[in-house]
Amino acid sequence: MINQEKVRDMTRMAAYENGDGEKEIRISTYRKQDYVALQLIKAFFFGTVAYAILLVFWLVLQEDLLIGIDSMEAIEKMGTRICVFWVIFLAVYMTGTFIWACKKYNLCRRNARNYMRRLRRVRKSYEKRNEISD
Amino acid sequence: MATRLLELREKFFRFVGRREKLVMAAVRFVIAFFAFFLINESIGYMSQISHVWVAFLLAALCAFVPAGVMVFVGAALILAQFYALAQELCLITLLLFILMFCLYFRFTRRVGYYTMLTPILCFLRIPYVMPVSVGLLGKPYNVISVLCGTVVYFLIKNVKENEALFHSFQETVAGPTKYTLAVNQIFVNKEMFLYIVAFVAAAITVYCVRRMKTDHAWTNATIVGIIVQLGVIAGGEVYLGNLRQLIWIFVGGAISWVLSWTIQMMTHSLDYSRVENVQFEDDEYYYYVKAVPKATVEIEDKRIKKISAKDRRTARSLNRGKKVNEIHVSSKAEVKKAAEDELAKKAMEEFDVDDDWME
Repeated sequence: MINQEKVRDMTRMAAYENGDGEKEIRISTYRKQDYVALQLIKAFFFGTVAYAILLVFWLVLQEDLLIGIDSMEAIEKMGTRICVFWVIFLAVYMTGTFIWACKKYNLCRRNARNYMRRLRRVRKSYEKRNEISD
Repeated sequence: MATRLLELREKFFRFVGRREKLVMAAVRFVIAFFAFFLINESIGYMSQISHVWVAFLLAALCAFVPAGVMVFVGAALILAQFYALAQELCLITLLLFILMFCLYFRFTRRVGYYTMLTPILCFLRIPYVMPVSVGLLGKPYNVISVLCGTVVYFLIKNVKENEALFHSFQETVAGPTKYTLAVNQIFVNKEMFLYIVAFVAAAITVYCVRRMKTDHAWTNATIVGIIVQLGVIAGGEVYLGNLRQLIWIFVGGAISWVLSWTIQMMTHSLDYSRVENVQFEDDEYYYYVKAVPKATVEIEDKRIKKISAKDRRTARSLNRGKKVNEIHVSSKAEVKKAAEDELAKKAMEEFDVDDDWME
């Protein structure tokens, strides 16, 4: 006699493992603050790279502006403006990354918890069967 | 007509469900092949990889890998073609792709299809279906993958129109550099920004309208999405003086609406004639629930089995005295014995005699 509940649980577990399960279980082994901190560190580097690329595009389009800079004062002013915009850009980028990381962690944790609950149910059904056979 | 469409939908889902892996591989192959073919046709500056067999082989490779690999291969193909035209253009395009990755693609998965389909549909003049499908099937921020595809399309289009400039460009001390020319292909294009604004507005509008609690919300969302796009793009093209584009815009919009309606019918078909409004409560809340049943039809699962007279006799002789499909098929001897028992029983009943007198 086939235990339909067990088959249902095992099918869902197999589908989860074949999909995003492995990655999500690995993420759920982190503590939330550790995972978010890791994502923020990555965001710092990727955000800086993205800002640098945008700056390159802007400088190429504003070649005339660069030609007009001929004094230290103008260079300092430009450098200050670039740094201020870099800080603002990073603040926005890292805030977005923080929100995304929190949501992703919560989702991974919920899915991994459901997977573990199904695993426990299947294990209990095996233990029950072994008790009966003994 | 509606029942027929629903039947076709069920048959299509049944067909795909039975051969899912094969169908998904075929879909990835078709999308990749068209994308790589169009890239080679538009900007085929490197003759070694511009052959149709290269597109075919790359598409065959992409059929069996995730959609992200398809996007990567497409990007590599574009970079290779641009390298043959101008190294500066290749470098600027590489920076653009890295920027797209840093700002969006590293946060999400499963965006390969939107990014690959958008340039293909732009070439076919029906890109308006993409923001509507994003609004219907996903969240509004998924429109960013559509925007990335739009930027790539306009970059390819601009480079194709201005390739003579790259060939004949002479750098001077005080004049613009090739880098400026390359960056201009991306950013100095008002038509691209017009399409970006239209797509963002349409995706957000479609998402908001389809989540409303009114009847036929999804159908209204597709109509509103197409109208918003046509309004913004047509108005912008008139402002830019591209009046010849208007016919293509409206024809493309009509075809896009048909495709959007098909997507909506395939994914979300409800029967608003059987709406139920119920109320109930539990310990914490009082519920007002509106239940709208999904429109489905049962497909007959016909199995035609032809049995000839010869087959029937053979089957009967083979199955005598055996259990076939849980039913015992009586042999000739068993049938004869059953008839004799029945006769004896009737005789005893008639003469009102017990079995004991026979002993």
